[in-house]
Amino acid sequence: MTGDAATVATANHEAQAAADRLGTLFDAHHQRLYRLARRLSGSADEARDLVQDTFLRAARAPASVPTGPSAEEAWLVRVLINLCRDRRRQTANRERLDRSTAPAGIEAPDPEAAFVARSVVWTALATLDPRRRAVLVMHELEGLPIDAVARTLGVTAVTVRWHLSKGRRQLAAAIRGEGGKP
Amino acid sequence: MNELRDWLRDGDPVASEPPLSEMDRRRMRQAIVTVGETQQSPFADWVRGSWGVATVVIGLTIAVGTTRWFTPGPDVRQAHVDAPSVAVPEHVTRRQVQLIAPGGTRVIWIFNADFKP
Repeated sequence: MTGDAATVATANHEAQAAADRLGTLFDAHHQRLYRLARRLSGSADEARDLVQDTFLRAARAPASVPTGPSAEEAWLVRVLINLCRDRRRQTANRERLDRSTAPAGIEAPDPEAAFVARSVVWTALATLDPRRRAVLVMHELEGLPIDAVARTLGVTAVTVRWHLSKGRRQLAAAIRGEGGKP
Repeated sequence: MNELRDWLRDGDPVASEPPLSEMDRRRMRQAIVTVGETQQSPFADWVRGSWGVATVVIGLTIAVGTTRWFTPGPDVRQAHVDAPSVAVPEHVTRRQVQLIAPGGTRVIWIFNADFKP
């Protein structure tokens, strides 16, 4: 039937167009997204998974990805942060379960003191909520101005300032807590 | 806050680790593009769905039209009914025919075999 052939041709054409767009999207944003994912996650493996999951979400819902480089990037960053939140929630649940089932008194072995000293701030950063952590990373490490962070995350500049202030205070408190240990 | 920034930069994993390798990049890209290709777009679904619906509607229209074309209307059909509408004993020879006009008016003719003018 001619209609069926036309439908198949349209579907093929659309699938090819969607694949091309995804490829372009990936080429344009994967490096920046990986850097952010690495700074938001505990390991390179986790960062790779996060980046892949972010783009897979775009692949499954291509219509929801806005057009334009900055809008695309903002959408991807938000998805990445949401995925970080989901993972953090899952990890927290798992750890809670492990704590409730593991025998008391067992602690992770201390890493080397030099490494601890260098990574104390990153350890503290890992305790923050992913969105707050993203605000700190984007502003403090990537050097993005507050307005740009707000645009990327889809929040107001006031919210970004609030997250920065709270995040810095939380980090300082965590660092003081770590520093106080013998 | 410069101190915090310095601490963050000192421990920045992006600065101390290699970037995403070419192999990882290719593997990831391939996986994403493959999912994108196999994913049906809403437009394609809609087009396919509308073709199906159109086919069913046309088929039903033809079937209903054909049935009505070859079936006599209700008034004619009832006019040809020679069976009594109510159970009447065999020995009674009364027959009736009901006609229903399109407006709903019902005409009942009762034939009386004993009638002698």
